[in-house]
Amino acid sequence: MNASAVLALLREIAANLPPAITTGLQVIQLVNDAYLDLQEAFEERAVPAGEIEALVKRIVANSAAIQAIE
Amino acid sequence: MNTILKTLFAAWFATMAAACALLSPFDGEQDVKRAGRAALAAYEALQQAALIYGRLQPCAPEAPRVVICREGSVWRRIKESEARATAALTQAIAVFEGARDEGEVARALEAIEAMRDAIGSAQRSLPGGAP
Repeated sequence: MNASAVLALLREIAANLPPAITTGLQVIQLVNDAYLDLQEAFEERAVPAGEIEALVKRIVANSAAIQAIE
Repeated sequence: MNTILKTLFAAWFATMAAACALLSPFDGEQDVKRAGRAALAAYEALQQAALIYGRLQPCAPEAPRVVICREGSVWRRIKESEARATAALTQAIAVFEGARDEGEVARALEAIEAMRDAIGSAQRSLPGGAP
C-alpha cells in the first residue's frame, strides 16, 4: 500500500467513523503517525541515537492503552 | 466501515510480513538497527489495529450482529498476546542496539506472530470477515 492509498484510506475513515469509536480522531492520528514511522523505518537512512528508544517508549505507551481497555 | 477495517488489517499484515523479512540475517550494527527500527515501527502499527478494535463497542449476545462490535474472547486474546509481545520486544531492544542476540529476536518475532494471529481472529470476527 503506497502513501497516497494510505492517506485516501485515512480520509475515508474520517468520513465514516461510527459513533462506537468515541476517540476516532485520536485513533486516526495514531494510525497516521504509525504509517509515517513505518515509511521511515523502511528507508535506508541510518538510525540516529535515541530513535529505537523513542519507538520503544511509544510501544510501551500503546501497550498501556491497550491493556487499559476492559 | 467494515471494509475499511478489513483493508486496514490487511495492510498491517503486509507491513508486518515485510518487517519480519527484514529480520533475516543482517551484517553490521546499522543493519541490525535498521531491522530493529522496521520491526518496532511495524509492531507499533499492529498495536494501532488492536487499539481500533479495542475501541469498538463490546458485542451484546442478545442483539443481532448488525453492527461492528468487539468480541470479548477475541479481545482478551489480543490483550494477552499484546502484553507478551511487548515484553518480548522489550527484552530484544538491547540486540537492536547492538548487543549479542541470544534468542531474544526470535522470541520477540514469535510473540509478534501470536499477536498477528490474534488480530486475524478479530478480522474474522467482523461481519463478513475473512474465513
